[in-house]
Amino acid sequence: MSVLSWCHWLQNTPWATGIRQSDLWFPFIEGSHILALSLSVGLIVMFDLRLLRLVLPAESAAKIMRQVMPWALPGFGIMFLTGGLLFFSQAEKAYASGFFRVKMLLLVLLGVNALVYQLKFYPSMTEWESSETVPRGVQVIAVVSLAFWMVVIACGRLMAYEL
Amino acid sequence: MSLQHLWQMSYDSHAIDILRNSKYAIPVIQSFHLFGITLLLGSMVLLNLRLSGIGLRQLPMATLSRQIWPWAIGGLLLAIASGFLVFVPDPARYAANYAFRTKMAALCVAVAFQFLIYRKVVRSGAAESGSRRNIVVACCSLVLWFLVGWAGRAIAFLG
Amino acid sequence: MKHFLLGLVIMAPFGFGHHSFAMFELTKDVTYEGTVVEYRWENPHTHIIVKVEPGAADPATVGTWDVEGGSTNIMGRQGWTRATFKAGDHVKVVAHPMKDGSKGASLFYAVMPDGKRLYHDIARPKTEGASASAQ
Repeated sequence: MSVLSWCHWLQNTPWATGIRQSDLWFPFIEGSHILALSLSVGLIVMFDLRLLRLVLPAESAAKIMRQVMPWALPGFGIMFLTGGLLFFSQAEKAYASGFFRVKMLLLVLLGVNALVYQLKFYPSMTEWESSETVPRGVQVIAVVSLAFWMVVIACGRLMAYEL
Repeated sequence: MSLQHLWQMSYDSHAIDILRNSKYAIPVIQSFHLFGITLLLGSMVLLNLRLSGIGLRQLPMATLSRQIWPWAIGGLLLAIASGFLVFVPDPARYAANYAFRTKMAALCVAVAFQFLIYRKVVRSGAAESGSRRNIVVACCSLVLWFLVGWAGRAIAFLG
Repeated sequence: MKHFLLGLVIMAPFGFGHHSFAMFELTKDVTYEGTVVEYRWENPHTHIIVKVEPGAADPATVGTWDVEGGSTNIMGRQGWTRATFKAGDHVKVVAHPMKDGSKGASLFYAVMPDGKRLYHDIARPKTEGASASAQ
């Protein structure tokens, strides 16, 4: 069975069809996906801006991370849940869409980006977080994060344009 | 000059025609609208979590609001500018859409609330505590801004 | 072009707030008459796949077309239901074709067997001639 035909089967299961044909659920799930951007990407953006010392430069970046991340994680949980349901209900169209594929690739790369930060720079955070100059690696990670999230959002919008 | 005349000016305009007929222009502009919304609503989430005392308690309210407020305004301006560019090529359609009208009304209330009441509360000394008044103000702010967001989504679905 | 758009203004137009109608030739009303291959009642858009046989009145419409409507909410308020059409039904729709020549179109209205029009959205021409078609 090819991926495409599996997607066709998936979106035609009763629950997926129910979501797709629902006056209430589809708009609610899609609306939640978009508005939960504020609870996820919106918070990450603020943290990236802090890494670049563009916001809250006098506050400890580690403290901001500790205070903000507990709220961002459920936010991303909502994004993955609603995103998964949207894919479930439109699997075939999503899979065939170039914009969707780019979006998924970028999400993976964003995960890698976060992992690199976690492994390489987080352990030594107290050393560089109060200094005026930000380590080059941290700057790159923050800029990549901001840029890639913008493209992810744009791909999501352009994907809907195709459907 | 009636509204219909005003809208017709857009349909007659050659410059706006270019925007209207471009295949990708509107979706790209809508992406910028989403960037603005993400900045604005993300800022509102952070400020209101702190104001209500539910989260971010280790960050001082005064510093948080002073630093984040400009980004909230930036997001709002980006959303308004991009929204205007989506509206202008097809004003009659949007003006007749009930969800759009609701969104505009909610936007006015949210902006008024933010600039008149919210700013006063945040700048007062009492903003540090998670008092009941602060919780109510924080809830109102979030409800109003998310209402604008939901009304925006309803434009395509409810009409 | 200006006539048509003035017609839209009179028609209390509807909420295409999703992506963009730039990909459709909104000034052209083309009639597609044939058989329903598939009727997809779903979000974000309802689709009617119409097969027009060779020998049709308008040769340019011969082929299989994806006619895109609105959300189930918006179409539902115009009287559309999930059972309005099924595969094999005869159908006559008026739609705006894609600019790039591919076989897709944006639904304007369908003409039912009793002559009644089922519109895509709340647009109701106050005068039938308000939207001037190009053909």
